[in-house]
Amino acid sequence: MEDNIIVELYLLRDQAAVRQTAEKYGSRLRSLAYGIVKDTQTAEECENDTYIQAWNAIPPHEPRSYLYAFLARITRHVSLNCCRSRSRLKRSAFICQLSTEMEQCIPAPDDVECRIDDMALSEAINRFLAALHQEKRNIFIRRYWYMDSIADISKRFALSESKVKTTLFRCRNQLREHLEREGYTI
Amino acid sequence: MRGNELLDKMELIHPAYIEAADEKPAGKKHAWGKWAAAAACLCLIIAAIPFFANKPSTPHGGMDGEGGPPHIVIDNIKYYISAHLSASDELPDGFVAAGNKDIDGGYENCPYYLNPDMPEWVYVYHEVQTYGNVDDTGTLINIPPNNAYVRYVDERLRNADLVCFNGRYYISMWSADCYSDNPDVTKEYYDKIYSLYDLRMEGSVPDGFELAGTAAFTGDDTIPKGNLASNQAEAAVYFNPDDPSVILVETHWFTATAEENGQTRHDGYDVYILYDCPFITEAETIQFHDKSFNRSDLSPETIEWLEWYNGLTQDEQLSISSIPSDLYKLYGFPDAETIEAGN
Repeated sequence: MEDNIIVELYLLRDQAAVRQTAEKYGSRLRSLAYGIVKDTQTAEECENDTYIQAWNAIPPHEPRSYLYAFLARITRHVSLNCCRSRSRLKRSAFICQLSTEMEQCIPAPDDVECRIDDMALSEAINRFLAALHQEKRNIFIRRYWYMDSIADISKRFALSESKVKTTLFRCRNQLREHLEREGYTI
Repeated sequence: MRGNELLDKMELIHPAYIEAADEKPAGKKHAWGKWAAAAACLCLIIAAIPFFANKPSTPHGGMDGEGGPPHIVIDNIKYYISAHLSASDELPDGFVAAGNKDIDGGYENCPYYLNPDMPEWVYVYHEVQTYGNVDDTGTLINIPPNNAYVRYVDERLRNADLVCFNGRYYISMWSADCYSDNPDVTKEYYDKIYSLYDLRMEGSVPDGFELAGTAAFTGDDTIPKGNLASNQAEAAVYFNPDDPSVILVETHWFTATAEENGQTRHDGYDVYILYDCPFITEAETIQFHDKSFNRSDLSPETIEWLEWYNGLTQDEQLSISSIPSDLYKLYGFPDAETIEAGN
């Protein structure tokens, strides 16, 4: 079923919307959640939470042309929160590692809440990504959006692990420089 | 802000980028489907072997997690699918069938096509799947899967921003690789230039740099050739007569911080550094004192003259009082007919 029609079902408050969403994107969302939480049962919970949140978010949102990305963003958010709140998942070390890497992108890390709004930060991040070559951009996104391990990224892109690490290192430096140079205080 | 918060904020990445990063080369096709189709179409296949010989093969590997850019290896050279996703319904001129090969991470037994005049490209006929492109308004336009001739590019050229200036090749600091087993430039060289010029600079041209002209755009994935050419875009190029290791290419970019209350345009220059272009062999260039020139930029008479001139002793060269006009122009003096040799 076309995404446009699925979104229309959500707008009509038709519960078939959830079933159609699960049929079309369920496995991808579950796979995304599993990549983050590394636990089958928790991944299924995250998938189901995604449907509930999507039901509550459409309307007002109408992601007719980007339904999967809309759902995946919810799944990522839910899965990340799961990792942080459930110590039994033993994923906190990995999330800490990713957080440490992300901190290298912040020109002046501090404990003050984000100083610019999401729209401006989104602009900043997406302009940085737009300037990257496609492969580097995808590597960066696989690491910090999909939260893939270095080993998985190297396998996916047919690169050595050291190449992936250096690419990410350079991307992080470039993002920090991008934020510094363009005057973003985050 | 701390790292964990920025990690959360990565959810602000544009949906098109998220989907693009999740793309797989193809979906796995059930084996029984292939056999069933083969049985059902046996008679047709026998009758139409010449036709099917040029058809794409069964895609595979989409669900095994391998992913990555599809690539093909020919004569020990690895060609990756073009980062510009160049695909066409017609086979480009000059390319001829060279056989069938499997695409790593993509498809089985695909027809591929070579052009001896363009060894840096290979065209492969297979199914193209994409989740779509973002148009000018930011809307994602879905593109249904279709079969096409897809450009694959030598891994040393893929994503390399190049400028050819007076027969010398420059690569942008953004795209220069200094880490891999076969780097474009050494780490020491890269770091030295980075410390002096950075990747990009904003503002006016630094002292010492002069306008070389406007680089002609030679196309995506091309090896730029000519007196002043680029495979990125048409843009003004500046050079420093005292430092041939660097040229600057005019560019601009935009920012939109909360403080700016809108979009701000920034003008500046991308930094390109001299490097040994692996695609230009000595046979394609000819030397004139400290400079080398592409033979394709010179007339046959000038090439003949240069071959004669380079065979002279230094004293004999000093006695030559004129050089061909096209060689003279490549030195940057377009209006004169001759120039004293050896100067």
